[in-house]
Amino acid sequence: MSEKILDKTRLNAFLDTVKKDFAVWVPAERNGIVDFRPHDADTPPELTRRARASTKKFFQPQRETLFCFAGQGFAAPCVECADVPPPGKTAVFGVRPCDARAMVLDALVFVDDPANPHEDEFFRQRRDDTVLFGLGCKTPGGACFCNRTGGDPFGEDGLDVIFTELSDAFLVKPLTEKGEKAIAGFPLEAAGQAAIESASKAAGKARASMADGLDFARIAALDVNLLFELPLWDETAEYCLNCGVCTYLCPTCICFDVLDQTNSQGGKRLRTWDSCMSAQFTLHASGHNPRPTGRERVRQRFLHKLKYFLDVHDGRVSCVGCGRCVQHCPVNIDIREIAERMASAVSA
Amino acid sequence: MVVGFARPTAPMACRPIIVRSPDQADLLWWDEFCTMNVARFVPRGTGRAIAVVAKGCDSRNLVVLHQEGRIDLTGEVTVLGVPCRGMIDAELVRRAVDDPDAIAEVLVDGQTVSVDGTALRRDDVLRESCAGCRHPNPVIADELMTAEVPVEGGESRHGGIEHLQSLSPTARLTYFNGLFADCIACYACRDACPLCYCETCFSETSKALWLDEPAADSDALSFHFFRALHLAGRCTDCGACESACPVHIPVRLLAAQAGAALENASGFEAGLAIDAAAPVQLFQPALHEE
Repeated sequence: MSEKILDKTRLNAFLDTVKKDFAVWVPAERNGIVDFRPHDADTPPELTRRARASTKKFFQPQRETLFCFAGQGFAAPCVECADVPPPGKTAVFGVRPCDARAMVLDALVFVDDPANPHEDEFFRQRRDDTVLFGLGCKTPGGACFCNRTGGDPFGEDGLDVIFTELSDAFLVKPLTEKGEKAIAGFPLEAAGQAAIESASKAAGKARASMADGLDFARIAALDVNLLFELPLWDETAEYCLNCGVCTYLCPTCICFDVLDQTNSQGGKRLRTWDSCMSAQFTLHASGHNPRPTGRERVRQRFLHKLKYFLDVHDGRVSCVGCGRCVQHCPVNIDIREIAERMASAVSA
Repeated sequence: MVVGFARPTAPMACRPIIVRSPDQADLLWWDEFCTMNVARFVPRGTGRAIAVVAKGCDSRNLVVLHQEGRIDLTGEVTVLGVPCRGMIDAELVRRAVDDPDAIAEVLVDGQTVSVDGTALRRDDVLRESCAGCRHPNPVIADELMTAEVPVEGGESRHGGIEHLQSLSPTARLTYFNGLFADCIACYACRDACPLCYCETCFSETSKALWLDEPAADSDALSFHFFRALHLAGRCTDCGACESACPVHIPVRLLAAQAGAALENASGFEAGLAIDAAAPVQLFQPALHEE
């Protein structure tokens, strides 16, 4: 699979061609906020500013219907859902490498866990149907730390094609067969050596611009019981709002809730995003809540991402360093600082 | 202990803090991004004296909490008042530059907001709730941290609301549907609000099931309408909800509209005097008729 060149002025035409087989989404602005939105000629893809929400929604929508049923009670038969269109084939352009890598990590839980023979058919179907066109990060942001989590501003994990923005063109590098097929309908010239070198230079420059420090391996070495009782959690809980900003913007926060929405004729079973920040998240039917206060909830979020996940999945943290939580937490709970303090914990 | 703000780790961020000993006093911080309402972070039942670093709106919310029996401004709580020149809206700053993720430093000097060297006019990036503020000086303070600032706001505060009220009900619904289309149901607006202290929010009850399809457009609208009604006559228009919103929805418009209607009908403005009773505490049939 060799690199190709796409003139910048032909980006819309290229995406229109892809649209013959896929629903095409791009980062675009509305109400001042850049987010992934359906592509049309009036909404040019945003190449500099990052999308507020991640690409998580393409694999795990905030709200999805699992099935529908007619009548009431346990014997209610499943029926075809009236107004739920199948997701269908989707192409997302402008995906940052951190988001694509997050999908790979999320898939470890939903479908790719070798220790778990069950797979989540909904996630699997969406992953099969979705093609990710990446956009290398030429200028990693001040809150970005993908390099510390095992990622890279030009990383290729989870992407089907990666685009690198050059002065007046994109270098287009197909990474998977799926990606190569998706772009095949639009004639692209082979890239010359100069373009390939200039893209590689941009990647090197981006890498060099990122701070180092923050070593999650130090957390791996620590006893979970030590981390569990850190005063850090009391301190953080004093100002954590326990809102859902971090978990909902996070590309690797994948916890969900399942609920039935019913009326006298029947109903549907929904799956929605859920958040460990919410008191309801662990509230038992008995009224008991094993995480009764904000302290237990905020601790859960960080221990899950930076310790439990790491212990189970070969040292990988459930964080891709996209920095969204750092930028948008209303009270500046900074996962980089939390991780550093966890890593520096010593037994009393 | 002192409830105030600490120096944040990221540009334009805001971090509330509680310090407990004199040697922690250096952790306290103040800048133009202290957008959260500090009344939200005052702990209850500590049995200790609590000092609160409060700007004008924060002090009004302390008054409301006192009126509602949540804190005691005549006893445990001391107010360290900070006259406020208005807080900057980080989202408006982000919109004013090409690559908002690259912002490294934002400095405010008089009427100039300098973003990595690029100068913006303070008035262009001031929070909307601050632009029309009528009470920048704390309404109650045991100590004032600086001299009082001149009151400049007033006229413009309800400008947006008057426009809203001029719309037909259908046009208003269309407007609100558009406004809340980006809502992700994270409830940061509620969780940042000093007045949203219900043990269980109506949005999270299953009996009655007020909202049954999280993140559906209709439920987003219902949530914001219900919440605004709960805040009518209590909301001080502090703007913390808007500052907390990760998608910059002008969530305060609804409660501000309800507050304006109440103010027009009764002359009551929330959180001005600790011995005043709020309209919800005084049922008046005549007012009810209107």
